[in-house]
Amino acid sequence: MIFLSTRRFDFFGYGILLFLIFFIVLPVLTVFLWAFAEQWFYPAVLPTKWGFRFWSLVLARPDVWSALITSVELSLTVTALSAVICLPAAYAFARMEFPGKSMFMMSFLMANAFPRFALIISIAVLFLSLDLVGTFTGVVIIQLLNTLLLMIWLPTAAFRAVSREMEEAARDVGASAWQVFRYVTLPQAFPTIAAALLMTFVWTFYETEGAWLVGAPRIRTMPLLMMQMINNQLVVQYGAVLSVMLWVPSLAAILMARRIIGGDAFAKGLGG
Amino acid sequence: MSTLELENVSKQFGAVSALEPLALRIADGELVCLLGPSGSGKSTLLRIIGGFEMPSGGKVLIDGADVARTPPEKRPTAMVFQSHALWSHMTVEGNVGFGLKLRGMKKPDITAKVGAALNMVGLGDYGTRHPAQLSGGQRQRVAIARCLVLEPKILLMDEPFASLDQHLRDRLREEVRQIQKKLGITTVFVTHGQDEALSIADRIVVMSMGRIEQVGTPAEIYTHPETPFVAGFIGDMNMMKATVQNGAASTGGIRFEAPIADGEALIAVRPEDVTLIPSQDGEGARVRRIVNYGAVLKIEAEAADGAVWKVQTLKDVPVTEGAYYRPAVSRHIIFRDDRAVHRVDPS
Repeated sequence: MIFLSTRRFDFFGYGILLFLIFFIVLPVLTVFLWAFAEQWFYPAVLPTKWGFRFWSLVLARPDVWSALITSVELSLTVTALSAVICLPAAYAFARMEFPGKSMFMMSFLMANAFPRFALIISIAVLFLSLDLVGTFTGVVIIQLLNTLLLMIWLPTAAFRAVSREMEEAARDVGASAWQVFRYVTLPQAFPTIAAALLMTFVWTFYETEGAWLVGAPRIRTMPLLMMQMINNQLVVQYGAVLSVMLWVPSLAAILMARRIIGGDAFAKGLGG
Repeated sequence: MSTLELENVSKQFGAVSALEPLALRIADGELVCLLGPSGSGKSTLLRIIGGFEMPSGGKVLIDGADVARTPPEKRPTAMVFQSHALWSHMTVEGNVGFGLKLRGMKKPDITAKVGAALNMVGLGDYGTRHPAQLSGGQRQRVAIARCLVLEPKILLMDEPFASLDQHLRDRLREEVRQIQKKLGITTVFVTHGQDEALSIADRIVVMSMGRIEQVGTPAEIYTHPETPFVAGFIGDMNMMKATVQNGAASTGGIRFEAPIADGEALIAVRPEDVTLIPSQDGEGARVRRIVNYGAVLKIEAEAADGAVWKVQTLKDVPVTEGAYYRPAVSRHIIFRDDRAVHRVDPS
């Protein structure tokens, strides 16, 4: 380590930097440039003609708008349902004793230990007999299954971290069990739960395997539409514009996360 | 006017008995310390009074009404927790006013009451801060204000100052005692520190292994311990094994009057009740060690039979290490079968 990180030349550090630039910054930058390029011929380092032509072309397509609406609806529905189902379950896992508790917790992990694609295919076959393939409900269910692990494990850990004495102190000043949860446990666990909700939203927004196997062809989300466009017509700009559009939700999620989890958590005094 | 009575209260955790059936009566306005080593059941007893544990049997009577099955939110008790347990997402005012808000009190009334409570603990200007911005002592003051603002009938304190340094602990203890006296609030205070108990309690309940060993004023507990446990747990004590024969027992070079039946006994003597009288070399007890505590000297003197006397004298009494002294004892207690059976006390 001492040898690798001497002042003279840090091979290791520069190596990582080069790797990051080459495989992450450059492709992202290229996609971004393509989205605003109307013409870009080979030897030129930058696009030869800039413009928003492909943006208006993409935005004029009704399938883009319907895919965007589908994606947002789907992500919102899945996040809301997941919260309604998983948060009470997480609280139960954190605070109550019941037979088979650790087995349940492990089972959420096990579901993720198998290759997801195979799992989704077998579920899709099951859905076929239930007439759920190609329906919004079917996609919602498959996405819900995907979010279970995240939405149970993270909030469980968050609820578990809330000090018992804090809850008892609330009982002591007159709070009912529900009021303790509402005014003490939930606010204390909130930063972590918010992170789990945001991750669920973003995860569902970008998920392709389940959405494709269960939803196609009738339910088309943004990532699916992008794949389709890139496959069918080799106009790079269409894919690039969609990619930039697809960044918007994750960017918004990250900014929100910084506000909610970062800022607030410090104000609330995690050091407490 | 609030009294607290425990009748036959017991607690089992599975097969383990945490509290043997016990009875205790605490008068209005009294401050009672539950004192004992960890595992003695003192915290369990406090949690039973607060409603956080259901007793396995018995009654908890507050002003004559049994609350043993009442949940904590419906009891007229308020507890200061060891970890202060402030809600870190609320301001100081939010913490203190939360209980009033739950009771549906109007905002201006809450503000006034919270302000008064914070003033009482000397934190009038700290209302808008968050607990993370306070020192350990200030947090515990907020926790106390949070209890007082509810005007509970019984105030419960679970080793509230255990995590603070000695100086701060002494000061807060004094303040709590002043406030408690001023409000005349019946208080149960759990501690494992004998100094704490001796300095603030009206009465001390010494507990050991889920049992009450003795209940009494600090002076009674200190000078008249009823069991060897109490004698050894509170303050320093010389505990000498001795054999009683014909109404007397000898140990450590001293002959003790013991008007009890012949047999084994335990003789307890406080270090400050031993005086060292200079004698010739080889006679009496030899001073092994002298430790200077400022106002007093703590001395260890080994008698000819191997017994070691712990002695405490004022600092200006001349004692030399290595020299021989004849120990003389002014007070002693004789225990047999874990009970005090004879006591010699000239005062």
